[in-house]
Amino acid sequence: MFSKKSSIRKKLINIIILSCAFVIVFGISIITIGYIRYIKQDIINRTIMETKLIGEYCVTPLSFDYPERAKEVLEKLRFWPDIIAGIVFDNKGKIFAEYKIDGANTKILIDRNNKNIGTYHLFEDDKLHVCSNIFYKNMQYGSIYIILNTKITEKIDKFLVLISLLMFFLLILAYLVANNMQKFISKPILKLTNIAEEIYKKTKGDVEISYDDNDEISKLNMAFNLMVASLETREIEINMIIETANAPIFAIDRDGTIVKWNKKAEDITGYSKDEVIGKKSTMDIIEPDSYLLYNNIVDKAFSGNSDSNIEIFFITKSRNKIDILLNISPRKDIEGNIIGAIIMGQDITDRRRFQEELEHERESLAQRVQDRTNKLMTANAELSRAARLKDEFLANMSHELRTPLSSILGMTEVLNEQIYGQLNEKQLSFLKTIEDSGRHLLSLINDILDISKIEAGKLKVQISPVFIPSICEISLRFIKQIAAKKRIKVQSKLMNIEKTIGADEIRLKQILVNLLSNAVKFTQEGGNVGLEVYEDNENSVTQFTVWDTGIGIAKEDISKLFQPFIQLDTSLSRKYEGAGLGLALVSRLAKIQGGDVKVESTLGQGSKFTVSIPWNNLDDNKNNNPKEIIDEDTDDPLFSNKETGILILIVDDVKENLNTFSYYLKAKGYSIITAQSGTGGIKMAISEHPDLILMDIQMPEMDGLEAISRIRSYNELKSIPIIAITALAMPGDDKRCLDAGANMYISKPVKLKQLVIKISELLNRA
Amino acid sequence: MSNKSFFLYIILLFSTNSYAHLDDHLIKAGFLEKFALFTEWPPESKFKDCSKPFIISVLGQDPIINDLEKIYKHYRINNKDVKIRTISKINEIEDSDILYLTESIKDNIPEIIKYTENLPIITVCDTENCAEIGCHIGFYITDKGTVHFKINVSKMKQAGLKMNVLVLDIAKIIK
Repeated sequence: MFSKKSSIRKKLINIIILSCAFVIVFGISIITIGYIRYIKQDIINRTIMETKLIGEYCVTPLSFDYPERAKEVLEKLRFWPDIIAGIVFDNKGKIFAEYKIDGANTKILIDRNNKNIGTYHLFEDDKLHVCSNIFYKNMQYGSIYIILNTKITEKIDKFLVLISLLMFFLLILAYLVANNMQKFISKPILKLTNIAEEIYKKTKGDVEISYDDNDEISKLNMAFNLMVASLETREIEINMIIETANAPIFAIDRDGTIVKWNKKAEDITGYSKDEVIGKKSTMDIIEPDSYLLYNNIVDKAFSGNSDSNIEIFFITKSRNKIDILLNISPRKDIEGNIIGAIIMGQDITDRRRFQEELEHERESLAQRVQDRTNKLMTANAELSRAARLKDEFLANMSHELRTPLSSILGMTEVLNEQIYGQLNEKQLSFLKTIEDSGRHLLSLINDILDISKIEAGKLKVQISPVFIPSICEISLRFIKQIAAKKRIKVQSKLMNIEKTIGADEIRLKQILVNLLSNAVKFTQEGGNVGLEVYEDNENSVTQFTVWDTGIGIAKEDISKLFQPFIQLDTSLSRKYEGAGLGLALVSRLAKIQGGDVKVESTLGQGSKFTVSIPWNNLDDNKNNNPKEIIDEDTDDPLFSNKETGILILIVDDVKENLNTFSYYLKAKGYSIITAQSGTGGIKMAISEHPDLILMDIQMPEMDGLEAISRIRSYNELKSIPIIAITALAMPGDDKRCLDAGANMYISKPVKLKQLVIKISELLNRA
Repeated sequence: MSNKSFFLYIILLFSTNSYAHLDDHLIKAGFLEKFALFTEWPPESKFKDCSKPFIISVLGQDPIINDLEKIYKHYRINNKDVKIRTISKINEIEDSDILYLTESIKDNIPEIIKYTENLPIITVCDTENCAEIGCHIGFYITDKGTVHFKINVSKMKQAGLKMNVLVLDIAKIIK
């Protein structure tokens, strides 16, 4: 009845009806009870009165003992409706006269012996029994007993029905009145409600209502007006926001009719508000292909779900296609019922275009990058080609430089041997200078070659067991002579080290010799030079310290020390010979072995170079045979002038080389034949069958490698030992020579003594 | 009250035995008391004066005397002693409340009626048709053989007596 959902009108009606019903029921109940009591009492009273009256009439019959008359009196009872029986008793209690309707039950319920004046009554069911004693002048003559069917229940029932009907009519009346009266309260409220709905339906205009009474409703009304004002403000604000939003916003109701269309939507589509609002214009505006998608999201919104970032194409009034990103939300009324959808768009046509442009740009950029990469790759290829060219150039250079140097040194050696006659002092001295210069030049060339190898990463470290005292001894021996010349005292402090470490022996020797040579070079006559070795067990390194009391190095110059081709003082280069490669080589050689070089120096007082060489694991290099250390001062045991009868073919395109080898080997007793080209060499080998062939590798037309393989292709020539002589001196050269069929490989410049040893080795082996 | 009960007892006794002819006198005697009971005497009469006895005079000779005396010996009317007296002369009537005219004076009745016409004395007669000739109350025997009475209303009215309608209702009325 007062559920929250029913309207105030209903509630009011209900209140009034309920109140009325309560009052009516209560009042009528009281009336009913009173009335029932009243009619009951009335029946009783009337019956008693009648009984008494009849009793009076019976006084004389009783007095005069005239029952006929009493009977006559009682007979009159038949005119009394509902009477059942009337009995007159005499004073003895005997029935004096009696009247009863047919078949009536006349059971006497009241004691008639009560002699008091008065009447007695009682109800049994609907039957009223009344007994009245008959008195006359204070004397009792008998009593009368009346039984009446009062039909009171029936009467009460009838009455109740009537009362119920009355109540019903009263309630209807109450309803009619309530229905009329409630208007005084509900009408203003309904009015408020309607206006609220009006506002809610976004109807424009001033919606204020007046209600002049000074009651709660008018207060509510006042508050409502304030609320309306604030709502209007908010509505204006919201409308302004929507209107000025930089995004197309529109709203539709449940049947798809457009109800809102903001400025931006107008701008974008070209359709004005008047053209679309109140129409189902989305059909025209949305591109047919997008329409299905649009319908889907609208349906979704109608079922309460929001959706976002849906891409839809619009067709503008001027038939342009624009790309819109839609966000859709359900529109709800105050009770939460979905009444439509609100759609907010975002014109992404430009963005899409930018995206495409960006995509295009990206593609072209990728193309450019590809082009650049290609160019770079070309450049890289060129660079690597240049590097290779550089390597080749260096290799060529060293070959080209070494080849004449070989001749110079070879000839010098030959002359020094004085095979072709005695030389005087002066000549020997000149020869000595020639040899020294030649060897210096050779070492420079070797250094350049080494540095270029290191820079190219082509120098490989070959780890072998190195006995430290021995390598120190050998290194010191290199400078002994020069030191002695300069009266420089060479001190070595080996700290009783008897250790063998894993290191590249040749490179280590190179480092030490370089440092010691420098020390001697830059130390004044009569100075001191020293080599100290210290084992650092903790870090597993051996430190070689070479010190001197030389000119020293300025602090600011130390950083430049290890850069190639830089000699600190240009004046020095005049004073001290050298290409400035020594320390650069030392540093690089130490680094490729995992070590480093430190310098301490005081200008004018001396320098101290400390090289740390880590102990490499020997197991990894087991197969590396320790390099044979050739003592160059060792005398050649094979050197003799005896004829051996052995024929050696020398193939070299450079005449000077041919001469050097020929002279020297002839002096050693070998028979020599020569050829100046690969082809010539092959012919000579076939015709002469030499016991051994010395083959220069770099020759015009047919090179040595090809010549060797050609020679090897002849069965009869297969067993002839061939020594390849090359200035290539690059990694892989040896292999290429051996692959081609050479038995041995010797690089230029060739030490003639060494060559003789190798030749005899090969011949012995054969 | 004990007197009353007794009286009633007698009445009832008689009424049940009303068929017995001999008892008619007793019934008639009882009726006299009832007539007195239902009759209203004029206010100036001595009826209400309690100092004077209620007097029933019997004119002539009749066995009813015995019965009357028997009944009223111990019983009272209107709270007054009842005095029964037998008279023979008309002038003795005065002071009576009920005058019972016996059969024996049948011929003198008109004269007596005339004499008592305006006196507040109920004249009761046992003679047939006496009510018709001016007696206030006349006994007669019904077809069933029971005692009943007639009342001459106009004569009673003339005498200033008022018979209760209830009695009139059961009596045979003579006008």
